[in-house]
Amino acid sequence: MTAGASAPEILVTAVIEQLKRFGATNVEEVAGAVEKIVFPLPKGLAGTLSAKAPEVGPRS
Amino acid sequence: MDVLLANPRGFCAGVDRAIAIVEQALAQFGAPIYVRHEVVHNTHVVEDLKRKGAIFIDDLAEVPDGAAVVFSAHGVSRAVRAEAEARGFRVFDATCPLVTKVHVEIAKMRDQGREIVMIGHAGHPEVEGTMGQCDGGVYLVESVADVECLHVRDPERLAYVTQTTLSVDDAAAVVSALRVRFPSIVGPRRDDICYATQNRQDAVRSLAPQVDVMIVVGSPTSCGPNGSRERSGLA
Repeated sequence: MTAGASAPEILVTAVIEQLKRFGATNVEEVAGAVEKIVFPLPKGLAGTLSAKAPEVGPRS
Repeated sequence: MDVLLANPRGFCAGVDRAIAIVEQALAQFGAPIYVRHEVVHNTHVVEDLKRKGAIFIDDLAEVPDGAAVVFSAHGVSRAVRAEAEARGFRVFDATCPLVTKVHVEIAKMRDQGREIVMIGHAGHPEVEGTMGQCDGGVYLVESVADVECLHVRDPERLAYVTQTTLSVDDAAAVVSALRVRFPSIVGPRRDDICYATQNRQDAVRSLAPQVDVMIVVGSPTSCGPNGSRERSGLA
C-alpha cells in the first residue's frame, strides 16, 4: 500500500484497519528514501504552528 | 495476508506547508478564511479545514472585500494574483515552492524569447497557474500524440517545463518525443517533477514485484496517486 502526497496517514490507517477485518495479520513498513525537506511558512504566519515533517513510517 | 507499506508515502513538504498555512491563518485571523481551490487534492483534508472555518472557492469573485485568501499549493496565474491585489485581499500564498520554481523558470524562458511547451494535464490547477505566468506563448501537451501535432512558431527557440506531479515514465516519453521533433528544445536545469513524486513512484516500483495487489490511497482528482498506480504495473 502507498498514499499520494496529498493523502493523510489517517486514511492509510483506516484502510489497514479494514484489511485487518478482512484477515490481514502482518503489517510491515518497507524502508525507502529518507525525506527531510521542510518548507517554512510565509512571513507573518510563522506563529505557533509550523509545517511538520511528513507523517511516514520508520526509514532505515 | 501481509500488508507492506511503501516508504516514503503520503504528505510531501509542500502539502504539509499548505495545510499549516490555512490552519495558522485561521488561528491568527479567525474564520472565515477563503481558500482558492482545494488547498490540496484530498477530500478528507478539505472537509477537516471546512469544519475549522475555511471556505473553499473557485473564483475570487466569490470572496467579500477585505477578506483573507489562501492560494492553494498548486499555484495561481499572474492574473489571479493581480485580481487579489486589486481587490485588497490579505493573501497567504500556499503555492508549493517547487511549483514557484517552475513559475520562475517559465518567466526566464519567455524573457529569452522562447516559446514554451508545458507537459501536463489540461484543466489541472497547477497547469493553469504555471501557464498563466506569461501572456501567451505556452503550448500544453499531455501525450506523445500531442507532440506529433504540435505547431510552433520557431522550432529553434523552444523550451519545455512540466507539471511537478506527473508520472515520471510518461513525462520522459513526452520529453523524448519533443527532443526528436525539436532537437534545439531546452529543458529546465533541474527536473520539474518534484522529489516527492519521484520518491513515491520509485517506492511503488520497487514494492510492486513483491505484492499481488497495490492499494494507492488518494483522491481521484490528485495526479500523484494515478502516477503511482500506473507505475506499479499492476493496474
